[in-house]
Amino acid sequence: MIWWSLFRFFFFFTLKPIIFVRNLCLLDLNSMFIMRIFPLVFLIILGINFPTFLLRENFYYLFLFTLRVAFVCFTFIFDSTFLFLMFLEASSIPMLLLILNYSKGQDKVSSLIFIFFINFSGSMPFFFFSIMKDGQSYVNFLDPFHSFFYLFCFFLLLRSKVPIFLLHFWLTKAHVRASGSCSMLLARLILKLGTFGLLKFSSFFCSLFGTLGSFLFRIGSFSCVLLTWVMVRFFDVKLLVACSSIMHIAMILPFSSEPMSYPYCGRIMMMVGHGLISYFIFYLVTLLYEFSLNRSYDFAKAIESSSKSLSTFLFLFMFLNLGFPPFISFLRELSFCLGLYLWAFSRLFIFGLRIVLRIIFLMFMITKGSFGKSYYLGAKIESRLLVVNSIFYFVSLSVCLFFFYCRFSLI
Amino acid sequence: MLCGSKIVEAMLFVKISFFFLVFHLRFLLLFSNYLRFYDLSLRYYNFPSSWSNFFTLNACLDSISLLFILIVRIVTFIVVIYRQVYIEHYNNKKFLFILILFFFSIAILSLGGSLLTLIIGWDGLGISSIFLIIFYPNKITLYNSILTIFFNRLGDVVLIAVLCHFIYRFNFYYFLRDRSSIYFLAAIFGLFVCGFTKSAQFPLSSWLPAAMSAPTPISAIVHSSTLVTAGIYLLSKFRRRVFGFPFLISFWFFFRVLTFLTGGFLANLELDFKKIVAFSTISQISMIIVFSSCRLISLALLHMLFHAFFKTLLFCCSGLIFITFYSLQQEKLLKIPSFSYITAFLFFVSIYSMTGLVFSSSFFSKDLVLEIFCTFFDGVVFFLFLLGRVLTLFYSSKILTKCMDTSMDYAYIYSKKFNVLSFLLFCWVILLCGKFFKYFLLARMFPFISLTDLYIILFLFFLSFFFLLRRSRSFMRFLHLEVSFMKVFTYRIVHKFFTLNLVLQVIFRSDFFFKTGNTLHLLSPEKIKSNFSIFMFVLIFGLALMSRY
Repeated sequence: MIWWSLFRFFFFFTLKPIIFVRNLCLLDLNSMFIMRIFPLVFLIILGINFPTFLLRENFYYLFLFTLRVAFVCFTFIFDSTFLFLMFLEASSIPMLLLILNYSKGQDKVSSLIFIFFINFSGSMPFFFFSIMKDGQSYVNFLDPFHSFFYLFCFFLLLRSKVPIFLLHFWLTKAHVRASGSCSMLLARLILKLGTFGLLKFSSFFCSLFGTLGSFLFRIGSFSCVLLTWVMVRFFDVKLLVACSSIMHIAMILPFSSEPMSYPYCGRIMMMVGHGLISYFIFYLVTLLYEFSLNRSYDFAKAIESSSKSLSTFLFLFMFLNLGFPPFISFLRELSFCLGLYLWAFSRLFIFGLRIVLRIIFLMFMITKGSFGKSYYLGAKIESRLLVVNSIFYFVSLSVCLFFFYCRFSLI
Repeated sequence: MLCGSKIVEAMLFVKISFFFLVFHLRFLLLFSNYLRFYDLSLRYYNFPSSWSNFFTLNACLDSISLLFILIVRIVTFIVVIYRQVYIEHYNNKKFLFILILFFFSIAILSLGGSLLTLIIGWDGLGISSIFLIIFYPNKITLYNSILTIFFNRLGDVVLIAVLCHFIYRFNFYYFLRDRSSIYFLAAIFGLFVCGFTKSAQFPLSSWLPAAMSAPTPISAIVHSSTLVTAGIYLLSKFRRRVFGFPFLISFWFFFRVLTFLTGGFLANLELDFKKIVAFSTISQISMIIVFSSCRLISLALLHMLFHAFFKTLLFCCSGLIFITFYSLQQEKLLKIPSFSYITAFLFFVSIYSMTGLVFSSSFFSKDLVLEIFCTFFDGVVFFLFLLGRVLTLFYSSKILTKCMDTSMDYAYIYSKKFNVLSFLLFCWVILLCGKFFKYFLLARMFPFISLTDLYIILFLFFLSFFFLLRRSRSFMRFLHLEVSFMKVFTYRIVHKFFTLNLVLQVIFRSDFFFKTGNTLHLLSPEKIKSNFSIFMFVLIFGLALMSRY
C-alpha cells in the first residue's frame, strides 16, 4: 500500500487545479506538490522502525499516526476556511495523544497543556474570521480596519503553527518533549500546515504584508544573529535542529507580499526542502539517541570514529540544510536573494551576512562530531540499516526534486 | 618492504591512469586551437517569468579547461601514490573519499559553461577542503578550519550575489549584454572578491597559511596547486569582459603586484617551513594573475602548470623530511637525512625551479614576462616585478641553505619510499623541460626544441646528480657560493636595468610605451612632479644598490 501511494504521489501530477465536491475541495498545483512529500513519512517510520521502538509498536500508535496524516491531507485539500480550521485543529489532537503516550519525562503534561492552550487561543479568533469570510465578499477586506483585524486573527493562528521568532517556544518545547518519530512528524507536517495556511491566505493580506515586510525581515535577520549566538551554548541536539528550523522559517514571513515571483517559489522550496531535510536530520538524531542513550551532543563526541555512515549522512544533511548548490535548499537561498535584489540591495547584504553566520551552527555540529574523545566506542550503530535507509531516502529526494523542476518548467 | 598485493594494486592504478592520460592528451590535441570549444547545455530549471534568463547547466570544453583538468589529474595521481608513505595506516578510505570528492568538484568547476554549474564545483571545493583540513582532529586544525570556512563562505555568498546580477541584468552565459552600467562594474568587483578569496590574495589571504595545518599530501594537492588556482580560472573566464575597462585592469594589476611583494616579504620573515611555502604560493598565484591581467593568458596557464608541479614536488619532499624529524616544521632545525640523495636532489630542483633560475621550467615563463614588461609597460611595474623576484630568491635561498645541511644522525632508510620517489621524478622531468612545455602551449601544440636546449637540460641533469652524491663540507660551500652567485647575478641585472632602461623610462614616463609608437616624450616638470615620490624611491633604492656593488 505504501508503495502504491508512493507511486501515485510521484507520478500523478497535473497542470490545472482540480475542484471537486461542490467547490469545497481544491487541489492546487502547490498543494499537490507539497502533498507529494507525505508518503515518505511512512517510509521510515512505519516501514523500518527504530530498534527500541519495536517493543512498543501496536495498533493504537498506527491508528493515531494514520489519523494524523489523514487530517493533514484534508487540511490541504479543503478550500473552505472553516473546514481548513477544523481539520487544522483536529490534526493536533492525535499529536497531543502521541506525545502523551509515547514520550518520556515528567513535565510532558505541562508542555501538553501549554501547546493545547496556544492552539486554542490561536484558533478561536480565526473561527470568527472564517465565519465572516464565508459570509461576506472580498470587498470588505479592502477596509483597513477590518483587514487589520483579520490579519490579527490570522496572526494568532499562525503563531500557534509557525515558529515566529520570540513566539517560537512552543516548538522547542514540543521537540524537546516529543519522541523521535513525533518530532519527525512535527518537522515534516505540522510546520508545513502553518506555512501552507500562509500561502493560502496571503492573497488577502498582500498589501499589509507589503507594509510589514521590512519589519518582518528585520526580525528574521535579528533572530538569525541571536540564535547563532545562543545555539553554541546548547547541548541538546534536538533543540539545535529546532532552532535551525526556526531560522529557516523566519524568512517565509517577509516574502508573503508578492503572489507570483522568485520569493514565492522560494517559499514553496523552503517548505518542501525543510520538510525533506530537517526530517531526516531528526531521524539521524533519534538514531544517535537510541545508541548513546543521551541526547546531549557532548556524549556524541567523535561519532565519526565510531560510526562513519551516521556521521557522513549527518554532515551531508547539515550541508544540504545550509544550501548546497544543485539541491533544493540552494535554489531556496538563490530565489530569496533574487527577491531581495529587486527589493533593496542593503537587505541582500544582510541576507548574505545571515548565510555566512549560519555556518557557525554547521561548524559546531561538525567539529563536535569529529573532534574529541568518543564516549561509546563499543556500541556500534547498525550501519547497514542506516545506509540502506539513507540511500533510498536520497534517491527518493532526488526524484522529488526532479518532479519539482518539471512542475515549474511546465508553467 | 612493499607487499606483493600493494605492488599489483599500484601497477593497476598506473596502467589505468596511463590509459586515461593518453585519452586526455588526444583530447588536448583536438582542442589545440584556442578558438575551438564545444558547448553542451541542459535546461535545468525555469522560473515562471519570461523576462529573465533560463537556468541552464552548461558543460563547456576548451583548451583551458582541459589543461586545468590535466594538471589536477596528474597532481592527484602523484599524491595518491605519495599517500602510501605519509598516511600509511590512518583513515585511508576517508582520505581517498574526500580526495575523490575534491577531484570531481574541481572537474565540474573546470567544465562549467555557466555560472550555475561553476557554483556547484565552487561549493564542493570549499567543503572538501574543510574536511581535508580537519583530517587530523586537534585544537589547531579546529581554529584553522573555522577561519577557512568563514572565508570560503564569504566567497560563496558573493558569488550568489553575482549570480543574481547575472540572472537579472545579463545573459547567463559568459557573454554580457550591457557593459556600460554600474551593475556591470559591481558584478566584476564581486567576481574579483570571489577569485581573491579562493586564490588567497592579499586582503583575504589569511586562511591559506592557517590551512597548512592539514597533512602534507593535502597541502601538496589542495592548498598549493589546484584549489588556489580556481580563482584564476574564474577570472580567466571573464577576462575578455574586463579588458574593456582600463580602471579595472589597473586595479587588478597593481593590487596583485602588491600581493606579490607582500607574499615574498612575509615568506622571508616566517619561521614555519610550510607557512613559508604558503606565502610563496600566495606570491606566485598573484604573479599568475598579473600575467593574465596583461592578456598573457597562455603564459599564465603555462606558469600555473609549472607552479603546480614544483609546489607538489617541494611539498612531497618536505613531507619525507617531516617524517624523519617526527613532524617538526621549524625550518631552522630541519636537515635532510644523509641517506636520501634523491630527496635532496628533488628538493633542490623544485626550489631551483621556484626561483626561476636559468633553464629551469619557470625561467621560460618568468623571463618572457620580464622581457615583455621592460618593453611594453611602465618602468615602475617592471621594477616592482623585479623586486618581487629578488624576494623570491631570498626566501628560496633561505630554505635551500638551511635544508641542504645533511646529517648522519638521522639515518632513515627509505625502503618503501622508492616507489614514491620514482613517481616524483615525473615532476622533475616537467620542471626541467620547461622549454618544451612553453612551445607546447604557445605555439599551439607544435613543440620546437633546439639541440642546445636539449644539451643544457641533460647537462643540468647529470651535473645535479654529481653534486648531490657528494656529501661533504666542500659541497655545502659550493652550494652557498652558487646561491650567492645567483643573488649577485640578479643584482647585476637590476643595476643594468637601472642604468639603461628603468631610470630613463621613469623620467620620461611614457604610459604604455608600445602604444604611442615608440616615441619618447620630452622631459616636462609636470610629469616629474606627478611622479616625484616614485622617482625618488627608485633613485634612492638604485643608489643603495650601486653603493653595495
